[in-house]
Amino acid sequence: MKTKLILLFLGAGLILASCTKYPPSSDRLLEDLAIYTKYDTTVNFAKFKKYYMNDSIVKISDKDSGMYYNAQVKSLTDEIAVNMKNLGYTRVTNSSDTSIDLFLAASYMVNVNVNVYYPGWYWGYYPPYYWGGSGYYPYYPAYITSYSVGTVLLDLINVNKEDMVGGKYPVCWNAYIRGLLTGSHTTAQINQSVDQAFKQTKGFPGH
Amino acid sequence: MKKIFIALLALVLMTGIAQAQDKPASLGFTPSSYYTFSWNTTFTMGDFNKWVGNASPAGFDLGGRYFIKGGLAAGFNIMWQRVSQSYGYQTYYGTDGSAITATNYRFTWMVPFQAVIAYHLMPGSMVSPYVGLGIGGDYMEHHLMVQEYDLYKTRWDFSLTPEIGALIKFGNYSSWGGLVAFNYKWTTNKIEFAKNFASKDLQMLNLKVGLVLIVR
Repeated sequence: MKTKLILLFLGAGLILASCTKYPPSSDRLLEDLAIYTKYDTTVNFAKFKKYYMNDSIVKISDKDSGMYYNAQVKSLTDEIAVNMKNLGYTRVTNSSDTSIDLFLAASYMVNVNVNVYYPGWYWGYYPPYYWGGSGYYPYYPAYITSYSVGTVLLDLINVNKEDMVGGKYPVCWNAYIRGLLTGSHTTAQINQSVDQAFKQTKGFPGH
Repeated sequence: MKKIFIALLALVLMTGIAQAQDKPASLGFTPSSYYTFSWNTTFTMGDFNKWVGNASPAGFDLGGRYFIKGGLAAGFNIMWQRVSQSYGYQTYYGTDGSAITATNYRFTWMVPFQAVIAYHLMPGSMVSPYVGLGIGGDYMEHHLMVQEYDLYKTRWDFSLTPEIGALIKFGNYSSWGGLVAFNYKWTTNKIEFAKNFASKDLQMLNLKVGLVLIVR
C-alpha cells in the first residue's frame, strides 16, 4: 500500500510539475496590429492651435534610413491630418512659422527593434533640424520590446519656447502602431488604426 | 499531459478489473483513509464569468481523507487550476495616460488549498456517495496580457466549497477506485484592473473526475 501511495503522489507530482502557469505563447501573442499610446497628463491639449507635419515620414532601417514617401504614407499622413483637424488644430505648411505649437514627427520602422527608454530621453528618430531642437519625454513613453517590423511611431512635440525645459522640447503624446506598414494591411485598416490612436487618448480636447 | 493521465487511468482500471471479484455490493474490507487525484474542469460564474467565459479543463486536484468515525472523514485538498480566454481588439486604459488597443488575453492561475470534511453515506459499499465541505484559501494571479504587456494582480483569499460526489471502487478487494465529484466554490478573491475590469467575489463550479487509492 505504501508503494501505491508513493506512486500516486509521484504521478500526481509529475503531472502537476508539467502544468505551467502561462498558456502557450502561440495562444496569446497574435502578431497583428497593436496600438499603444501615452500622453503627458499634466498638459492641457486645448491650449495648442497650430501644428506642422511633413508630408514624408522618416524610414528607420539598419541599411538606408531617411525620408520616405509613397501612396501608403500619403494615406497615413492624410488620416493624421484629419484627426488633428477634428481636435481643432490647424496645419501649417511652413516649418519655420514661429506660431507653430506642435510638431508631429512620424516615423516608420522597417526592420529594427525598439529598446526600452525612459523619461528625460528622446528616442525619436525624427531629425531635430526639421523641428528646431532636441526633445525629451517627461513621462515613461509607450514602447514595445518585441520585433516590430512595420511599426509606425508618432510623436507630438510641444515646440513652444516657453514650455522648454533645460533647452529641450517636451514630447506630450506618443503612439506606436505595430505592424501598420508591413504591406499586408489595407488603407482602411491603416486609417482605422490611426483613428484609434487618437480616439483612445483621453487627454485630447473633447475626449 | 492529458495522454499521461488517460494512460494512468487505463492502467489502474485494468489493474482493478483484474483484481475484481464477483461481489458488487460491498467492499471486502473497511477503508481507513483514501487519496484522490483528479482532473478538474472549471466553469466560471458571475463576475468571474465576465472575466473569462470559457470552461477550462486545465486543472488537477490532489486530496486525502481519513475516516474519523463511521462515514465521517476529514482531510485536505490542494489544487492547480487555470482559466483563460482570448478577446479580440479591446482597449486597455492605464492610470498614467497610457492606452493599448490589441488582442487581449486574460487568464487566472489558481492554487487552492483547503481543509475538508466529508460524510460518506455508505462508506463500505462499492459506490460510496458523499457530501463534503472545503474551507481554506487560494493564491490567485489574474493576468491581462495585451500582446507583450503582462499586467497582473496577485491575491490571497478565503474560500468555501460545498461538494457532492461518489467513490466507485473497481473491485471489492481492489484498493483502487474512481472519483466523480461536483462542487460550487465561493472565494473572497477579486479582479481589479484600473478602470478596465472590477469584480466582487469570485464563484465557480468544478467537475472532478479521477482516481482513488483506498487504504485499509
